[in-house]
Amino acid sequence: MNLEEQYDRIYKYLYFRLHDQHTAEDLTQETFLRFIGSRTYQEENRQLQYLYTIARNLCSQYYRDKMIVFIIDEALDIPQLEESEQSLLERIILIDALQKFSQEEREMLLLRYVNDVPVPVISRLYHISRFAVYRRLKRILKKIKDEMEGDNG
Amino acid sequence: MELIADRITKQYKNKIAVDRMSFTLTKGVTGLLGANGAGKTTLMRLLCGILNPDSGTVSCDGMGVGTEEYRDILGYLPQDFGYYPEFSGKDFLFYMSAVKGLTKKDADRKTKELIELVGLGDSAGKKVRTYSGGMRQRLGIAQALLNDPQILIMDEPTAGLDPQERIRFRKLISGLGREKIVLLSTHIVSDLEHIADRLMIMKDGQLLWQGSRSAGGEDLEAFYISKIGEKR
Amino acid sequence: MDNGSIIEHLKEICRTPEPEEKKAFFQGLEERGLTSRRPEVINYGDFLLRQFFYVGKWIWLLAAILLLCIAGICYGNTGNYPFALTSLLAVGILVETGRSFRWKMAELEYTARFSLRSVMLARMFLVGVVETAGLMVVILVVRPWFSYSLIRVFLYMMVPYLSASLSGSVYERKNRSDNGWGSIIICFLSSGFFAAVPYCLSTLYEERFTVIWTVVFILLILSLVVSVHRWICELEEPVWNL
Repeated sequence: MNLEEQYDRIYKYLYFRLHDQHTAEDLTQETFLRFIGSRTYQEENRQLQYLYTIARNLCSQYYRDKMIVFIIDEALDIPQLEESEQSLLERIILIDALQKFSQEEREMLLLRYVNDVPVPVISRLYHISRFAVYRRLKRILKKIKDEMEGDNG
Repeated sequence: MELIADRITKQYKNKIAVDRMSFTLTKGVTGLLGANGAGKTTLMRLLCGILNPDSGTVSCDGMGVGTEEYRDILGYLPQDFGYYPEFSGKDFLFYMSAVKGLTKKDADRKTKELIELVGLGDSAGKKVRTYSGGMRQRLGIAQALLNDPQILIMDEPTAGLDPQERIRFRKLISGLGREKIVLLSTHIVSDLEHIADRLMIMKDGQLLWQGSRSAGGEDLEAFYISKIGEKR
Repeated sequence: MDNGSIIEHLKEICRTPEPEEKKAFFQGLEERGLTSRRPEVINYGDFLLRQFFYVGKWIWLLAAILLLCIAGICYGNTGNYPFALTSLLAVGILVETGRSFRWKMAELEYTARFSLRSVMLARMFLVGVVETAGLMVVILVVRPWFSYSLIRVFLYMMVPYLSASLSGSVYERKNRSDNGWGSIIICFLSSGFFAAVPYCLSTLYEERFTVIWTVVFILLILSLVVSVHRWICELEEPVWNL
């Protein structure tokens, strides 16, 4: 497993759960220190699962008594170059659509499509079957699609 | 690293063995004191995931008791354990390494290291059934340490040890307590006098008192008896 | 709008500020030599392989003797009662499952990473696979001495073995004892039953009943899986309750 590549992804995951750059990076490093210090499986998928389990546990510990808000809207603040007006509009609609999903569903989207976490790993993280992961992801994408096409006319 | 027990309760048919106990264990040695039948063993089994609580939770850094990750950082010495009849001391440790998931190489290294640490160097190749009670106990301590546990739970670890072995054990435990969460139960107060950082006193399934060792004062025995005698 | 462009948009939305300390962090790990030597856990295959050597030797011995007996009796007499002997093969597996408890290793195994569940499943699996493989060889050897087709010999051999395993597993789940006598008795009862069937109900071994044997075989396999699954799930509580 390429640890440096995973560093970016775990950081991204934590960033969107904590929405604070420094805390996210601190916890990313803590995650990797624990991961490296522990014994784990040889299989890459099991390692990946363990990595996300640690990250998630640290996150819920950090926020032990607070609500975890998976914020996605503020991400728009990041300057984006050479945007066509059309795609900017689409993105705003997408962000709007995302708000309608549950925390877990948004997290699942992030893991699967942004961080490229394999479906078997997601299924073990959420303790649901692979089939259920596929079904949920498909349903979410379908909803987003309907939403966006509806808005676009 | 924190081991958190949150309002755990365990009831047998007509007796509450552990009654809504809540506590947090951190690095260092915690002594669990209580008379026989106070519920110490049940509590330890709950913390190891051998028993499921009727209500309440046990977790360490967000890892729930009973998960593979939790067991991976756990070392447990039960009050009473056995061995497969054909085992030598070394076989026993190799077997436990395999169940704990150590690779052959790690198992070799750790086994050698631990046999020395508990002072079984000369008899590691002998059958366990020829061991004295104290030697068997030391073997049990060695197996608990095989996987470099972060949480070490020992039920009556000094039972069967002779005075010399007790001293050796105390030294070993205070060393381990610097980097691990160590919980050991005993009904012999003097076992804890010099090694415990924290104390928990249990009676009839309830936590009577918990606090730092220093709060117990010079005469720990007297402190313990006064606490046990107090009416709640 | 297709899924691909939604995902593209999603990736854009999820852009984050660059991590600042990544380089230094990995440099630090490198310097302390932490990136290269991560202790590893053995995978399930290795675990199985290593458990293989810890299965009681007497089980292999018993299986070998029984298989030889079955082959020998089939050679001498081609009646239908030798099939009943396969019930006794199940004694090995059933007694083996109680081994951890008998020798008081169960608590230790329970708290280890691979846990008592894996240990018991591994043993059942190993003994079951080896015994079935041995039985297959015997079936191939004895087939010419019978007038039955291969599939029928297979069914007549497997059904007593599986019924004993199933009833034994149900019994062990409900009344676990350290010595395993209950299971041994069950295996002998099952064996006696299948030895008596050829005398009382010899028509069952006619070709037209092959379908029934096949159905029974499949049902036994399915119930065995369910029974073992429940057994493994219920393992903890009754065992340590005082």
